[in-house]
Amino acid sequence: MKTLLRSTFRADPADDGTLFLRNAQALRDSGLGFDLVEDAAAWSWIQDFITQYHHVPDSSTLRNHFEAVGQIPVVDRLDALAIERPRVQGDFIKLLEARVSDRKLRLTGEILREASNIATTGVTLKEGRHETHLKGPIHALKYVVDRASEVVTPMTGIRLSGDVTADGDAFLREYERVENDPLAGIGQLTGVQQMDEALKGSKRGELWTHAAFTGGLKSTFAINWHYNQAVFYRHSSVLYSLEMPYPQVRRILYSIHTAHPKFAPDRKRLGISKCLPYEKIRDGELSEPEKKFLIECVVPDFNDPGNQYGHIHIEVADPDKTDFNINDLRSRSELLYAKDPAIRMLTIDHAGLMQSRNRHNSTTERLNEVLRDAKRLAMSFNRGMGIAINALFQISREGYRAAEKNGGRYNLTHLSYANEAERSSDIVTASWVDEELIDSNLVKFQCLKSRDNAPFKEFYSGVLWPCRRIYTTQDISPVQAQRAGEEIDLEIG
Amino acid sequence: MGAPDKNCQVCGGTGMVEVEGEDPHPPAFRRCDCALRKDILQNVERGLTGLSSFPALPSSPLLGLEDKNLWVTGGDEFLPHLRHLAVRKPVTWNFRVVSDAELVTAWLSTVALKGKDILDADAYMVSTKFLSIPDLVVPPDLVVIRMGIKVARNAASSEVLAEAISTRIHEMKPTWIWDEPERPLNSGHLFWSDTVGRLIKPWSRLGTFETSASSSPNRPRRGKRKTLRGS
Repeated sequence: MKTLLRSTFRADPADDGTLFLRNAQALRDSGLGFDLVEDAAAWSWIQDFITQYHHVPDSSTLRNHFEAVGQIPVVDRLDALAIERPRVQGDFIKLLEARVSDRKLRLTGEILREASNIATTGVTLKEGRHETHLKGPIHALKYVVDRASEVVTPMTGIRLSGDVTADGDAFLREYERVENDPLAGIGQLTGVQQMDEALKGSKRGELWTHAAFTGGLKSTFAINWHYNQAVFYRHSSVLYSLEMPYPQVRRILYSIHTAHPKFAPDRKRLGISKCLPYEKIRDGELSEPEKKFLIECVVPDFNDPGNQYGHIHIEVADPDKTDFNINDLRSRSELLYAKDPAIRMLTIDHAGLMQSRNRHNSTTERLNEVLRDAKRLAMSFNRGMGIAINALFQISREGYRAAEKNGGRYNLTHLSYANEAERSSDIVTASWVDEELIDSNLVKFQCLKSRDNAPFKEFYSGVLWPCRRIYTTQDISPVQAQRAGEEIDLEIG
Repeated sequence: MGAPDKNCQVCGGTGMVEVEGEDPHPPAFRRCDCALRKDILQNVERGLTGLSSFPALPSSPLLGLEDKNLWVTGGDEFLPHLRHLAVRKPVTWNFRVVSDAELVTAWLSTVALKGKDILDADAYMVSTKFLSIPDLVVPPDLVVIRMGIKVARNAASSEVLAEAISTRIHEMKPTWIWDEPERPLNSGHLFWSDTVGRLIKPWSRLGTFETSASSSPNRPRRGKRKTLRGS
């Protein structure tokens, strides 16, 4: 418990405020308390501080407060805590879950003892002014069922069921959490501004289908998403690459990392333009400065635990199995989650390569079952905890042709050969590239469905083709467009 | 989209310039000027091939009317005005100039697919590029329907136009009808019907375009009506 508390306030310049705030939110959601009075006092004050300032306090702020109010034992306790090694991300969640598990064990014993008392001697419960007398085996079992939800919850702070009209406190806690840390409270952001502003990322329990024709940047978009999640938002994720082998995805990710803005001075120093091309890395054709840049800057940074990047787990289909279905995906993902509880998102690249659980004669039926199961997995992952699932979906040639006639615009009928893609998905997006867009270093994104938010208007994103990095390209405002139009006219004039 | 200038000193040939991003989000970029103007001109060409090569005008009464339904009467002098508007819109602005003949073609395409005989003098032009009227008219932000292209009679012409207009009204998207002073859209026109008239009657009207800055929205000039009495 000492480590848990230490991980909710900053005592060292290297402590990351964002990750510590996530720790504090998770600890608050768990409902765990502290036995020691000093710890309880410190934790209570930290929670108040977060509610008020939306970030975690540092140790000096804590000390000053408790010195001012004369609670010297708390100050001494804080000094002792400051030398503890804090934990973040998956390490923190793992520790927290271990403590929650201990509490559940104690709680189960308590509930069973109480039920035994109800069955034999009877117990009087007080709820406000009302008193209820429970006695006998039926009341005992009802009592167990009522309180079972406190034990059966899959993870900290997740409710599987409940009475909404009596759940106001939990609802407000959830709101406060989002208010304190908007990034932690919403979904897993893609890192593409227009998409994130409209859809707020892929959320737990939701299925996001991204559709495109072959070569339409489905996998590239997914890899970029996972990269942004890990490096910029520091969440772990799993990418099931059923199309590309692990070394290929790894090469792309390292190539993408060479374009990170933090390396701009190094790139300038070594005379490297924007990034290291993927092909050169694959074929071992880097020049001396490029190789130096890769070995001395990019690889060490990507592997440095001090950066606290999230983990990108790349999984490929089991080579010993001829088919890979959603049950395999579930068991593999839950196993990975047990090792790295910071995992927030799964991607299936692509759904067409998954096998259905049951044998079907047509591709449509098979794909429909895969997508239905993917949605179910999103909602029931890890005993109801839920997770964000992104499924990549290949659009048929007919759909591609139809979109081609329509200026590269898809609609939901282009997914109709697997109608479950439309029905089960909470969000459906599509990407489009043609030769013209490739020459312009652009990709077009559009939103075909959004269940919970207004869909975004189609927009263009930049692509750094050598390393396959997709990045936000801000739309020009009407005023800028007007100015550009006037400049065009002036040039002609 | 326009390919960026490979020798551009600002973007280094990528067409993108980094802008101040917000932590913790990945960096954002904007389109470099070397590519942006080409993007805009290509978007203009997507709306109507050849439109970008029309002469530049100092001003146009069409500017600011792109969100409204409009009934425009004018000849080819309308096109520089349309260009004036289109070059001042973002590259994501989706507009399309469709002819009345294209509407009929889209309407007939499913018949063509079924292999049935088409009783239309322009039947040889029927393609399956757009399989229905909504396919053709729903996606754009602005549709300009150019009248007077279809000359051969088709009994359903006016219904096709009415359906296209109704579809746009249902989608709550603006539509411009563009007819010519020599062949105005009124009774006697191939595409005219009471339904069409009722649909477009409340629309603003704009006519007699000039290629100077002095043009302004006004009602189309009508010739003096001749009566039997000669007055």
